[in-house]
Order: sequence, then structure tokens, then C-alpha cells
Amino acid sequence: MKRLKYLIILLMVSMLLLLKFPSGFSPAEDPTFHFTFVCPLTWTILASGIKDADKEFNTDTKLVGCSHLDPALQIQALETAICSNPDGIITAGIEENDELSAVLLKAGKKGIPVVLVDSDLPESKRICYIGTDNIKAGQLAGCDLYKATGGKAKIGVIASSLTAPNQYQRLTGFKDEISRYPDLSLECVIQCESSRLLLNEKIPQMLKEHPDINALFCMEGYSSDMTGKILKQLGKPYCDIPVVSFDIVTPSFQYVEEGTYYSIIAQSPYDQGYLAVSKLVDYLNGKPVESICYTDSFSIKKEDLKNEVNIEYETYEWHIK
Amino acid sequence: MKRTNGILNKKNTISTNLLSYFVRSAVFFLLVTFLNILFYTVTFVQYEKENDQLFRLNDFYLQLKEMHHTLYTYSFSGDEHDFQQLQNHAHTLSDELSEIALHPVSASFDRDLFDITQIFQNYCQTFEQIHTIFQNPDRFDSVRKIYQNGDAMYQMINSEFQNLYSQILTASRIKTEQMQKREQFYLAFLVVTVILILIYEIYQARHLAERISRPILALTERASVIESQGLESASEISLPFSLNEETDRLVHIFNSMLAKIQQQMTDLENYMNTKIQLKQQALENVKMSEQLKSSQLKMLQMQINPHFLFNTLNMISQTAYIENAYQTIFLLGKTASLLRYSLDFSDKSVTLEKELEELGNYVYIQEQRFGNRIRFFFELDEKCSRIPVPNLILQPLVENAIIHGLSMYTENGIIRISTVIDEPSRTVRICIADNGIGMEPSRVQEVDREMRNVKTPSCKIGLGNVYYRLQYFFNQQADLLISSIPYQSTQFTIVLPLPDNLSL
Repeated sequence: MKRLKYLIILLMVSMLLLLKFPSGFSPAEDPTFHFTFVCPLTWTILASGIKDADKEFNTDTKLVGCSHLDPALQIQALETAICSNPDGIITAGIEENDELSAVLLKAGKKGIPVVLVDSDLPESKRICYIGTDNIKAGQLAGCDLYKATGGKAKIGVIASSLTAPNQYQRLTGFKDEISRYPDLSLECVIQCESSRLLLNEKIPQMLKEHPDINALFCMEGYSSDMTGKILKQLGKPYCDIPVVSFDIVTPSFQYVEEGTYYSIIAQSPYDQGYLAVSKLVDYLNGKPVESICYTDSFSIKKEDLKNEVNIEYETYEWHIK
Repeated sequence: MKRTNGILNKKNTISTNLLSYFVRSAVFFLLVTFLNILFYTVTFVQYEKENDQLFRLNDFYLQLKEMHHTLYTYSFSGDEHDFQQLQNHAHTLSDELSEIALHPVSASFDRDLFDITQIFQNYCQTFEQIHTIFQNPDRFDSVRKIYQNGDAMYQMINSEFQNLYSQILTASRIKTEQMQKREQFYLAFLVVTVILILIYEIYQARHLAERISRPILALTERASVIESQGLESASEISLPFSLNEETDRLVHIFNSMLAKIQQQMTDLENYMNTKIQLKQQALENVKMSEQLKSSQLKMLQMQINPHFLFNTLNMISQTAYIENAYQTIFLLGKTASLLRYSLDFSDKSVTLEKELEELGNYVYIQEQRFGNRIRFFFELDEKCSRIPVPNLILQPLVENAIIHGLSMYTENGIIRISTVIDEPSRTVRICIADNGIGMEPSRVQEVDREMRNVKTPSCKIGLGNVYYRLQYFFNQQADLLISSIPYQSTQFTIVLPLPDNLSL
């Protein structure tokens, strides 16, 4: 009976313990700087790099994404961001757009340092551009294409929009490289505005209109995503066309494994994100920051696949415009 | 500081037991109730806290809307009253914002609120700027632009409302789920605890009742056992431990009473036994003295005649003296001595010496009668001479020997009389043996039996009488042994216990 009594008392004490509710969320120590990252879409890998840098430098970066690729949305998000007086803004200059530049200038005038990642807008007076050396990337692609086709091919290029400085630079680099090989020639360049619908339309059209195209270079992510499927749908002989793709998208590895694609020219968005925060912190701490900071681009072929471990990136909360 | 025993001694009475039981029950009950109230109060407060954030947020936005409307009016009215209202709004709203910011529901909420606070502060600049413009009349055209800026900022803040609200609700839903889980846990605990308490209470109640009823039952049971089986076999009630003071005392008293009564009964029994024994003894003594008296009486009867004989003998002796018959006088002297012996010393003790002396007289007389027919031999141990014996124990035996043993013989009859001390057995053996006709073993047994069977000292001064008187004198420690070889000898042995004071 004595044990029962103690058991009862024990139970009541533990009931008392139940009274202590979890206190809910309690904010971490105050961050040194608040940044805002305005992303044209929701670039998770880049955001991952940013967040890891946040942890390291004790900063807080708000992730603002847009539901679709539209400069207007991006500008609106940037306006809001500027009004909230962050210590720094990170964004991407997706295309040559005056309003976009104007907004970024406005930020600069208010004393908010701007870092551009992925694609540059030099006139915006950003303190730093961090991204791939697109000319080099284009050259790398050209090299790959030479290897893929044995030096003899008529090439079709699929870009998003040639006004985008990225694309323009990649194409330049690519053309530079293939110009070294007399038997490689650029047949056609199509622009698909990053619209899957347009891709579905224009790629078969290009292949039909230029039947002697026997190699493809997809110069950005959307086309890299869709081309494999389209080629498979079209069947022989199109599905045998060697493709050099750009950016790691969902089916990339699978296509390389199958042989649908010859290689992937991958960028390093994680590094871009990480460096963006790092450079902003340096800038705010008064350290000198170089205005252009290139991140790696590298080629992933079939034999490199085994080295590519599919890294699980944490998903973070995005503010969607 | 030592505590005195009195304060620390918990009284173990029925009333304190009952009281402590009730107090314990009450305490458990109160504790459970208290816990319940506490839990539900705390839960309610938690729920309220969640709601508070929503209310605050809603209030903020409603008031912001009002403020923006006032800003609009102010932007073209320039009314000072409106300006002050705007200032008041600004104060309250920034206070509200900071209040909301104090309880962020998530990291993104925290940051969002931080940003909104910044935007709001910028927004508040607008009416300040407009106010300065109104002070300087030459800058009117910018008011519109500033207002548009402010309007843009208002839209920025406004568009966050749904996001913030939804964040609070999401966090609240998670928290509610957690709290519900807790509530379930709590209820489960509560039910289990209450059941356990109930079980415990029931056990305690039974235990308590037992503490009172057990000694009472024990008493009742023992009493009924006593009733059916009597007091002697009853054993005391033993209870393993102290149950409560009142019944402890009762049981203790019962036990001591039982013990006392049993003791008294034993004493009474012993007393009665002793009394019976004494009575029996007294009865025997009476019998004995009566028997003695009767034999004395008989002796007395005999004494009447013997006295006459004694006097006559005396007269004859005198006549013999006148006639100068000296042998006659001698014989008469011996006869008189014998007679005197038998008269004076009946039921008195004499020394063995004296007995032997008188036996000598008897023997002399018999020798004169029988001449050479019977010869007497004495082998005596000097050391026995002073042993006290009853009188007339030897003479009857010798007489028996003469009459029964040697009557047939006309010559060479021998009677041997001897006294021996047998040290090992601490006895004195007086042996009277004759070489007479003897007795068959069956006859020996018969005589022995008859001898031992004599219950009263009859008038027959015989073997039985001697035996009886020996036993009486020596308290059953003497004996008379008969042995005989037919046609050869007969022996009577008197065995007497050796007195302790006879030093050897």
C-alpha cells in the first residue's frame, strides 16, 4: 500500500509537470545584419547557400520568391524590400530591364548595398556580381559538343532570351569555342522565353525546319528540362541527337545516364548564395569587395555521375509574390 | 535540540486513525481538484494567448486602415487636428506592432514583422513630410507624390496581413494540437490517478475497519472457545502488532485476566489435591491409631490377666525362696522378666540388645524344657546392639521355629540366632534359623503371602503381627524373609534399615 501511495504521488507530480506547456517559438539571438534575397523564381539551391552563410555569419536573409519569371513581380518585390530598410539586397539581373536597373539604383541611393547573383546588370551600380563566368561556360559547352560529335556537326542552340546577358555571354563563349573546329557550325538559335509551351512548339519546329541539325545545345534550364522529353517523343532519328545541356534540372542526371544527353554544364548556385552573403558582410564591415566574383562551372558526363551525390538541400520558407 | 518523546509519539487510538484516514482522503481529493483547476486554468490562458495575437493583429490593421484614411484626408486638408490624430495613430500602432513582435510565432514571422515595422516607420514619415510641406507653402506639388509613396507603402503593409494572419493561425493550430495531446495525456493520467486513489482509499478503509474489528473478533472467538472448551485449555490472544490503544488495552487485560484465572484454578486444584492427600493421610492415621488402640485394648485385656500371673509368680518365688528352691527362683525370675517385658514394652521401642536379652531369657526357659532336644546358638554383632527395634519380634520367630520347625525332632535340634550388619545395603540382618522340618516352597510362598497380607495387628502374636509391626515401626523399610529347605532348615531373616546415626 505504501508503494501505491508513492505511485499516486508520483503520478500527481508528473501531472504537474504536464502543466508546463512548450513555450513555442523563441527567436534566436539578434542577427548582425538583415538581408533580403529577391529571387526571380524560387532557387532552392542558391537559397540553401544563403541560409548556410546566414548561420555562419549570424545574419538573417529573408527569401522572397516570385511565382513566375516576370520582371514586374521582381521589381515590386524589390520596392517592398527597399522600403523595409534591409542592410543588403541580393537579387539576380535576369534581363536587361531599365525599370529593374532603376530600382536597384534607388536601393543604392538609399544606401542599401546590392549584390547580384546568377546574372549581372552592371549599370545598376551593384557592389558585386557573383555568378558563373558565362563565357567560360559557353566555351566549356562548346568543348563538350566537340567531344560529343567528334568535331563534325550542325548545331542547334536553344536559348531563353538573347537579351539576357547570361545567355548572350554563353552563346559568345560557345561560338568562340566551336569556331576553332571547322566542321562544327551553328545552324540555328531559337529563343523560348523560358516558356515550356513555346519550347514544345519551337524545338520540333526547329528540327523540322533544319533537318541537318545533328547536335543540340540547350543554353539554360527550361530547355534542358524539356528537350529530352521532346526528343524521346519525336523518336528516331531525333532521340539520338547528342545534347549538351545547361544547369542541373530534375531529369538531367537521368538523361545523362540514359545517354539522351551527352553532358550537363552545371553552375554552382550554392557557392553563389554563400558568397553573396559573405561579400555583403565584408562590405558592411568595411572590407574591400571585388566587383565580379566568378563561381565554378563544370561539365558532368556519364562517367562523372557516380561522383555526383544527390545532395538533399533543406527547404526554407519563401515569401511568394 | 532534542524533541521530547511525548510530542513525537503519534497516538494510535481509533479516533486518530479515523481522523488521519479522512485527512489523507481529503488531501488526495483536494490535490486532484487543485490539479484539475490548475490545468484547465493554464490551458485556458494558453488558448487566450493565442487569440490575443490574432486580436492584436486585427486591431492593428483596422486601425491602420483608419490611419490611412486620415492620411488621405490630411493630405489635402492640411488640418492640424488630422495631423495630431495621425501622430496618435502612429504612436499606438507602433506600440501595437512592438507588442505583436514580442510574441513571434516563427522565425519568418519575426522577420516579417521586423520588415513591416521598418516600412511602417517609413510610412509614418509621410505625414511628417506632408506636415513640413504644409508649413512651407511653396512646396505643394510634392504632397501628391509623397502621398503616393505613402499609399504604396500602405499597400505593402496591407498585403502582408493575410500572410501574417495565416502564420499565426498555422502556429496556433500546431500549438492547439500539442495542447490537445497534452490534455489527452492529462486526462489519461487523471483517470489512472483517480482509480488508483480509489483503490488505495478502499484498501485503507478496509484496513482501518480491520484494525478495530480484528481485536474484537479475536476476543469474541476466544471467549466462545472458553465457553465451549473451558478455561484451562484456553490460550492467550496474541496480536502481531499494536492496532490501536483501546483494543490493545482490552486484549492485554483479557490475557492477564485469563492467566490469573488459570493460575488460580491451578492453585485451587493443587490445594484441593493436597487437602485430599492430607485427609487421606489423616484417615490412615486415624485408622492406624484406632488399630493401635484396639490392639492396645486387646493388650490391655491381656494385661489384666497377666498382672495376676505376675503377682502369682512373685508369690511363688517367695515361697520357693522359703523352700530354698534356688533353681525355681531363677526360672521364676526369668519368667517374670519375660512377662514384664511383654507387658511393659508393648508398642514401645527397645534396643536390640534388650530384645536379645529377653530372648535369652526365653531361650533359657525353653532349654530347660526341651533339654538337649534343642540347642540355641547366638552369633551377635556388638555394633547392632543399640539399634532401636519394636519389642517381641524375635521371640515369636523362635517360637515358630520350635513349634513348627523342630517339634518333630527328638534330638539335635538347633536354632541359630545371628545379627549381621550388611554395609553395602545399609541393613541389619537378624537371622533365626533352625534345622527343622522345613517347608515346601509352596508352603513358603503361602506363609509369605499370609504374612504380608496382614492388615491389622491381630491378637495373634504371630509372623504376620511381627511383620506388620516391623513395617509400621520402620515405615515400610523393614522386611521379613522366609527361606526353607524341606527336611533341612528354615530361616527367618529380619532385615532392618541401618540407622544413619549408627557410626561404624
